[in-house]
Amino acid sequence: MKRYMAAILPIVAAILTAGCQQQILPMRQEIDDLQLVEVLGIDKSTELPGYQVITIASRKLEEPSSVQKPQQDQQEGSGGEGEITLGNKAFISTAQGRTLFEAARIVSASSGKQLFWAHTKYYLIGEEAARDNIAKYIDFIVRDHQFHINNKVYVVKGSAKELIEQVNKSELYIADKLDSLAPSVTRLGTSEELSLAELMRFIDIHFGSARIPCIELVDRSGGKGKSIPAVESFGYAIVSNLKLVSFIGRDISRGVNLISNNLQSSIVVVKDLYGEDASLEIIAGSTEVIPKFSGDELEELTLKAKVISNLGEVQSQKPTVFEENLAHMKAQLSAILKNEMMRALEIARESESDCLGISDMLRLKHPVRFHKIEDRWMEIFLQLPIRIEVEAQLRRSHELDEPSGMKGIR
Amino acid sequence: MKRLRTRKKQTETGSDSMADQYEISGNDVTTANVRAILADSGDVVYQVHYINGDRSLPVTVVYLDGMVNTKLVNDDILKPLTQERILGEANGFDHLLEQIQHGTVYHASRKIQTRLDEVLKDIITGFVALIFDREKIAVTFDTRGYEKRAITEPTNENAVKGSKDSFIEVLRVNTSIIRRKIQTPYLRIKESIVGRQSKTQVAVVYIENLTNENLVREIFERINSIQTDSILSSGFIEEYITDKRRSPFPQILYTERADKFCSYILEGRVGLLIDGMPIAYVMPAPITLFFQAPEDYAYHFIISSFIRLLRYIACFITLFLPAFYVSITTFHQEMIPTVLAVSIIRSKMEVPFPTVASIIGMLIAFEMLLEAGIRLPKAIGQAVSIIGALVVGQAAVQAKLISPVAVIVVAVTGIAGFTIPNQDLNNGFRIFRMIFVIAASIAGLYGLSLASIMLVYHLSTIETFGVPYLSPFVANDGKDLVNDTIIRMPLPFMKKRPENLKTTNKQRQQ
Repeated sequence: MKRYMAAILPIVAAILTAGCQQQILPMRQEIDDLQLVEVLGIDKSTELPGYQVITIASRKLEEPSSVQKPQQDQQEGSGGEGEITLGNKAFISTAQGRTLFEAARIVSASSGKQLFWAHTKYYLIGEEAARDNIAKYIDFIVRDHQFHINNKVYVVKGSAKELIEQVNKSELYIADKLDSLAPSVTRLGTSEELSLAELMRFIDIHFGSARIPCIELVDRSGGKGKSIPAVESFGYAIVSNLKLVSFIGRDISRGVNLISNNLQSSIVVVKDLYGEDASLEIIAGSTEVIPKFSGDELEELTLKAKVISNLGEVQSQKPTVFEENLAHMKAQLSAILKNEMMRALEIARESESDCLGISDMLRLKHPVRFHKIEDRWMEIFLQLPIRIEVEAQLRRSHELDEPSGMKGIR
Repeated sequence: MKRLRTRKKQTETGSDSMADQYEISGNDVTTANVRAILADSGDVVYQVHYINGDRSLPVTVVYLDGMVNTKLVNDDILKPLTQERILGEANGFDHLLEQIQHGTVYHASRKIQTRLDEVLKDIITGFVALIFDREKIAVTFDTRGYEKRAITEPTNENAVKGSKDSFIEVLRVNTSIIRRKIQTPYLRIKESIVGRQSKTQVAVVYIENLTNENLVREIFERINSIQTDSILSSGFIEEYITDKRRSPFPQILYTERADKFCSYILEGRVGLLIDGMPIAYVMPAPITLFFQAPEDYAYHFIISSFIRLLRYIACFITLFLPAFYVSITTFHQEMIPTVLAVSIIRSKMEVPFPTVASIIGMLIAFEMLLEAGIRLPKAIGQAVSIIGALVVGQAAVQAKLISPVAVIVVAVTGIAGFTIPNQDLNNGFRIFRMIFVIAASIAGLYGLSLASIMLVYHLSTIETFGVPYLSPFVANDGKDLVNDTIIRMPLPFMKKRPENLKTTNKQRQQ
């Protein structure tokens, strides 16, 4: 009996002392009473000053056959109370309040079920909200235990609410669309994913700044004048002093990725010596920061990028694989990438934001020296001479020495 | 009350004298005394014969009809008794007894009995007794010839690639099967009588100079300490000699397969055979023993290891899956992948009952189907399974009484349980499965964790004849952890006998 008591007592003690709620046992809730929120949109209200808008999207639970077609008149207006939009795939609900917490409570009242935030995969921050103050808006997410900080954050060019509602008019569910977006932008090298935890780190360090992947709503023509709303990557949103200050478009976002060692794959189209197009597939890219110090003062910085590429396609039907031609293509590749890197650097400097992670790379390489200048880093960054070098390698060039159709040309 | 007190007194004093219980004259071996005790049972045959027709030499032949081979009695005992002239020429009773003893009555097994209880014991077990009333002496002959079942294939433990002989209800046949398989002269089959009324013969089987002597002694002590009326079902012995009777987990392994039994005897364990039961017991039996099947040693070790591993995984599934499902759908919904969570919600949307009620209801329905399937004749039993699958499964789902996911969870739980080779162990898991579900419904994974700790604690406290129940995983100095537990190593690698048995001879092979 003593042994049983010895076993039972710690268990009872564990039950009574664990947890921070008033009730002893964990809260029971049937899974079918929950509304699983997968996408959370945050906007600044355009109608009521000081108000914030929350938009949630969760997967429709009814069978697809019983789902109603979306109706334009069901997505109207805004106010203090939550609204429900019936779309194809998603249950969308919107509400606004003085704070996001209040708005979230209002939005949960509009749903017949308990909102469950633990399945939220994407946090979409509208452009105006991001320009206002990023930290203000993510505090609600960070503070609530149901949200996970390893989920992804995007800045929406325009309104997050509009993006969620418009995408719901298409055949795609917003969360599925965002799921498919990440690998495609990684393959193109135009953007990347950023978790809330990473964002929190960037906005907490005083010498660096954050760049948040940016998405936008685009209209794709479906023929017969029908428009199909879609989501595309826009590049990056640059954040400085907790506010959105600028964007880096997808045309130069590859340069950002290369500087920050995040370029995994991309396609660069160059001309061969015959003036025809050739595609080079970047399969790896890395950049080394080479600083030049004078004592503890940083005098100059070199960003030395190395890029490995494959010859993916040659459109001319002439012998391609010879030294001059390959060197010509490599030189173009280097020049294109160097140009993108320089433009990215210019935008970062214009925005007074080290969103490229240069300070981080320098800190890891020379921690002691960087520590001495980290308080003045932004000042130094804006004036520092930065040289950019790109070394390109071309592989798989000899797999087809003689392109198809070459012998047909006389 | 008086009767109860009398019995208590008898037990206390150990007095079991027949003279005290029946109105007989002393303990003399006489027909009257035998008749007084056996009374007028219909199967008791009393016949008075005269030796070689001599009316001065009467003898009473007593036997139980149905227990003896009548032809043997007629040809080998009665015929020479009445026709052999040499018996008629005997010079006095002593000479006559000598003639009978030395082969005039042609039978190999004969005993001179002067004690009434010995005579009765022989008669009851199928001997023929020749009672000489005047001399108060009896000669008994082993003429047992009752009907017995043939040695057949095991019914509960299928033999795919091994020997197909199984134990039957007759102890002597079972011992002969063992002798045929283990031909060492050191094999010991020591018999004892258990059951004050049933007088059941039990035999302890072990190998001398191999098995731990303390273990053998302990088992004998426990068997001899059994004070019960009868041993008619397997549980009778089991419950009397196990260490922890309150535990639902088996601490003695039973088998109907002779090859499995012999392999354990050769490993250094002790076996127990009970007359009238077609199964044999093996002890000590730590938990790993219940995951082993004879086929494990018939297949390639990689195949066997995979199957063995599968059994352990299935054990965890059958034990935890329903409780885990209740936990994550009622308390920890964030643990479920979103798409799966949506599927679960969709399947449960119109079901009126909470998850825990569905799961407990389904588990009870499953147990009822199982019980019905076992108790009913085979042909009807199959019909019950079909009806159960249709009614409880499909119809209940269509009627929105239960969600399809709950049906799948309970079905997977049941199937996983069937992969465990030993039904006794599975029964233990069935009990704890229910406890786990209830714990999970109260406090989710927190409750499940606490219940699991209690299970581990409970299992840790069990000892089976001095061997920790969880060994070799615990309390074995890390020895034999992988030899023949979760996986099976190649047989040439198993050079030593299990360390936890502390055998006298530790080397199994060179």
